[in-house]
Order: sequence, then structure tokens, then C-alpha cells
Amino acid sequence: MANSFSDSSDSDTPTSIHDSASTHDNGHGDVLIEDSGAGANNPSPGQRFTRLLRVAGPTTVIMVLILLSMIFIGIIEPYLAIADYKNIASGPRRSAPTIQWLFGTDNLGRSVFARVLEGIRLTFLLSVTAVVAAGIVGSFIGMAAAWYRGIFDTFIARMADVLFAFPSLIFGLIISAIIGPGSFAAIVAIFFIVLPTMVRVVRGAAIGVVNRDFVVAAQISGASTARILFKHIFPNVASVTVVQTAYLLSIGMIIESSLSFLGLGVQPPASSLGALLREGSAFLNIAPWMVLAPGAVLTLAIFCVNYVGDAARSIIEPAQPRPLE
Amino acid sequence: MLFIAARLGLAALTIAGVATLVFFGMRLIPGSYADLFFPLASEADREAISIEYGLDGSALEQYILWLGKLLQGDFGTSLVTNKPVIDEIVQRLPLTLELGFLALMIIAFIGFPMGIISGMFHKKWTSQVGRHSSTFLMSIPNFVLGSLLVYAFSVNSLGLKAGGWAPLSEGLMENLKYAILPAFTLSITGLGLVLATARSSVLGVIGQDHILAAVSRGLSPKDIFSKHIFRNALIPVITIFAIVAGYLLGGTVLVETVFSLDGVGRLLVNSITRRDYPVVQIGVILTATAFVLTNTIADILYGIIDPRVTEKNDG
Repeated sequence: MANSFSDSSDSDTPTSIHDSASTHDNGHGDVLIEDSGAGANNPSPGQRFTRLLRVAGPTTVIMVLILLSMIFIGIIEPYLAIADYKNIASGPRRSAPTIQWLFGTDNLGRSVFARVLEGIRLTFLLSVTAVVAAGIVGSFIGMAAAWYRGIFDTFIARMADVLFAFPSLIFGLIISAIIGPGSFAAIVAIFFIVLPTMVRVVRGAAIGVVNRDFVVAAQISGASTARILFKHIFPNVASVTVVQTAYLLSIGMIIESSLSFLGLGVQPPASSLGALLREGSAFLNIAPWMVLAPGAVLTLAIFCVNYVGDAARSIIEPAQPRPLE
Repeated sequence: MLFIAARLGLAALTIAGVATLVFFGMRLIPGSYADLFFPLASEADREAISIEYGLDGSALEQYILWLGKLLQGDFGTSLVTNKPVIDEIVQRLPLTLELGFLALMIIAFIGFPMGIISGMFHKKWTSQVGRHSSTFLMSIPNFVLGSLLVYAFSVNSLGLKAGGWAPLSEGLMENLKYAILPAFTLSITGLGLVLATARSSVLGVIGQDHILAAVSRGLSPKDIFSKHIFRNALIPVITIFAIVAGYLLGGTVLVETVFSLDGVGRLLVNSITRRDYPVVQIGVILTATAFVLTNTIADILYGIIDPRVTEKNDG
């Protein structure tokens, strides 16, 4: 019952082919037509997977692979045999990139390649932690606001307005000053900066669901509020939450690296990509690789996250005619 | 009218919320002003310092006092330089405003048309280029682009200056030499965002039945574009443009750091580390006011362009 809304929403909106091709192109101009009879013939997991690959398109698959390998390298990085990123004078000072030192070495002779790998790890770790936490807390608050409405809803909306209007980087800097610079401060800052977006999006999606028949039916049959929120409303806003989490992840990575770049995020010897850029910028003219390598990797990582987020949106929320609001 | 009044009321409420948040946020930072600047001062001296700078009493008392002065137009005095806060900010405002203005121009005259073109020719390669370049532009953190530009232009300057500043009083050309790189850096995220919005908005309109109807009535492509597509596509772009405009003032922090410019963003960052409460408070309130006002104006404009909006009271 609870899923009737999300299941039917794909097929009961008539989509003109022209429209679906234009609003949700999948990267190579193909027309995306969702299988409307998805419920009728249950495809095996294998079939589902190949269909997913076909819908996503080759570029998305490549992006997902890059992203996964970055995360994978981030996870196994501490166990790799590459020179320890903390190892001072493991190589010559400020050596330009060579075969042995892929991204060159820094002013203390540390391998920039090893430091960049460590940086990816921290950058992902901090932003994923903060954004997932914000996703969970945000969907809870958003659903509750949509359910209770009234004063609670108004209060939440005004709080979100205030957090939105607060210049986000300055907010992060104040947080960092309050709890002391470091990884934890970065997580807290990202959490509060992305939270209002999450709350608004989930609230908006939940408001469309709270008055639907199956929710009313659940209420009449005596289901508790918690049960209604999680069993009936959450499945219908889950896709919005997932898509939004992907978007906010890239924002989280930008905030984390910005804070670290200003010296108030991750503290040495730990190094996120932003912290590496900060250190490198002092040597920009004599050892540009200290800036260019982490900068390029950071941009690539954020690009992959954004790209995969876009793809996830067009797969999870398939082509629908865009109403003129 | 009621719609506009309600919007302005909400805007005032939001700014009041920001003022409260920044005040108590600053007070939560451990270590008092006296600890930081007069670490050797005696207990009695600290007391005197606190009283002199209005830092005695509980946070709540200070807040009420500060708010009262603020409403009378007294913005306070910098704890570090002893100059009025408003002077400190006004002195640096032209640089930050100019950067923001130039960035908006870049976004409006490059990002917007690129998005429209990429949306109009959606079957061609232009569309894919538009799609990927917008994602790419949004993915470059502006301090990364800034560092790259500083490096690239230090190798070959092409007559432009990456770092430092010449005020407008030294002539427009001289000023632009310094301003163009930081302004471009500042514009990058907004450029991608406006490009993407304009593109998807045009794509959304093209698929509508009324465009098909216009085509079958035999309207010229030029008329269809200017009367049907452009106007409808403009609405979401205005909203995004306002959001971007609001963010630009807060976004200058990193750009000013990378290009070593003495603007409002830098002032705010330095003031946080120096515990210069009055400067941070006023700076944050001004930035937030700019953000809230641009959004409110966009809301009102939105209502004028699309009268249906004002009739709905709840989004």
C-alpha cells in the first residue's frame, strides 16, 4: 500500500517521447523510455543491472568507476606500500614529478602522490559522514514538519531561512573557532550548512504525500505517527533524499576543502585536499605541482560526484513532463 | 501589495535571526578578547577592558544593549583598530562589490546565452557541451581555479595582474587589469549554475504543448523563441540568478584570499580569528541582508512576470 504512490508515479504520467528526450537526456542523446510494465514481468537481478547500465550510458559508468576507485583507494590507502604521506625527506625536496614521484615531492621531501591519496580519503570521509548525518536528521525534521504543520513547521522553515542567509563559509569559520579547528569542526560545519537544504527538499516532497489516501487509511486504522512517517511517508520521499544527498556531497566536499584551505579545517600532519592546496600555495611559483595535483584531483572527485548525482536523478526520477508552475 | 509586504516581513525576520545567531555564535568562541590581546593583564585590568569595550555582563545583557544601539544606527567600534565598524567595511566595500558586479556580468552575458543556446539546439553536440561544461564549472572550487590562474598568469601575464588591486580611480583599464581574473574566478560556480538552469528551463519549455501549437499555427521560429520560449525560460533563471547574486558577497572570502585582495571577505575572516566581535557581527548581517534582499526582490519580480505565483500562498 505504502509503495503504490512511488510505483505508479512512473507509468501514470504520460510522457511524450520528445519531452523525455529533452528534459532527461542520458548523456548521448538517446531517448529514455522507462519500462512501464516493470511490475508485470519481474526481471532477474542480472537483467535489471544490464538495463540500469543501458539507461545510465557509458559516461556515467566511467564516472561511477572513477568515483568507486577513488573511494577504494581512500579506504586501502593506509595499507598500501606507497611511501608514507607523513614520511619527511623520503625523497628530494620539491622534486618535479618523475616516475618515482608521480606528483613530485613537497617542501619537506614528502611524496605529493601519497599525500593526495591520504587527502582523498579525508575529504571523502569528512563530507560523507556530515552529509549522511544531515540526510538522516534532515529527512526526519522535514517529514515531521510536513506531518505536524502549524507552528512547528513555521519554526523549522524560519530556522532554515536563517541558516540559508548566513554566509556559509563564515558560518564554518565561526564553528571552527568555537570547537577548535580540526576534522570534527569540519563535519559539524558541513552538517549545519547542508541541513536546511535537506529539510526543505524532504518537507516539500513529504507535503505531497501526507494527504494521500494510503496515509489517511493508515491513520484511520490506528497506525502510530512514527509508523506512518517511516513506513508510509519515508518510502515515498526516499528517492528525493538519495538524490539530494548526492548533490549535497559535492557541496560538502567544497566546504571541507575551503575550510582546510583557510587553515581552519583539517590540521597538519593530517591533510585533506584543501589543506594540501593551502600548503602548496606558498610554493606556487617554485613547485606548482604541490597545488596543481591536489587541485586537479579535488575537481575530478567533485565532478564525478556531481555527474553521478545527475545520473542518479534521471534514473530515480524518470522523465516527466515539466509542469509550468 | 499584501504579497510584497509579507515577503518583506519574512526578510526582516530572517535578518533578525541571523543577527541573533552571529551574536551568540561569536560569544561561544572560547577565549575572551582580553585573553587574546592582553594575556598578561591583571584581573582588575581585564575587568576594566571588558567594561570599556562593552563586554561585561551576561551575553544576554550584551545582546540587548547591542541590538538597541544597532536599531539606532550605531554599528559599534572595531575592537582591534578602534575605528567605527562601518568605516572598516565601507573602506573595503568597493572592491568586493565590484568583484561581485563583474562576476554577475560574466554570468549574465556568458552563462545565460550559453545555456539558452545549449537548450535550443538540444539534438546537437552543443547541448552535450552545455550539459557537461555546466557540471564541470560547478565542480571547480573557486580557490582551485584561482590558484591555477595565479600560477598560469605568473608564467605569462598577458597584461593581466593576478593579485593586488588598482581602484577605479586609477582608470577603468588599469582597474580591469587587476579585477578581471578574480571576478572570473568568483563567477565560476554561478556560471555553471545559470548555464544549467537556463538550459534545462529552455528544454522544459520546448516540450510543452503550447510551443507545438505555436509551431502548427505557423509562427516564425523567431517569434516562437522571443514570445513563447524566452519568457517562460526566464522565470527559473531569475530565481537562480538572485540566489547566485546573494551568494557572491559571501563567496568573495576565498577569492580575496587567493588573489591577496583587501576586501570585506578577508576582513571578516581576519576579524573572526582576532575576536573582533563588532566587525564580524555587522559584516555577517550585511552579507545576509544582501542575500535576503536579492531573494526577496527575485520573489517579487517572479510575481510580476508570472502573476500565478502571488495567488499561491504556500509553496
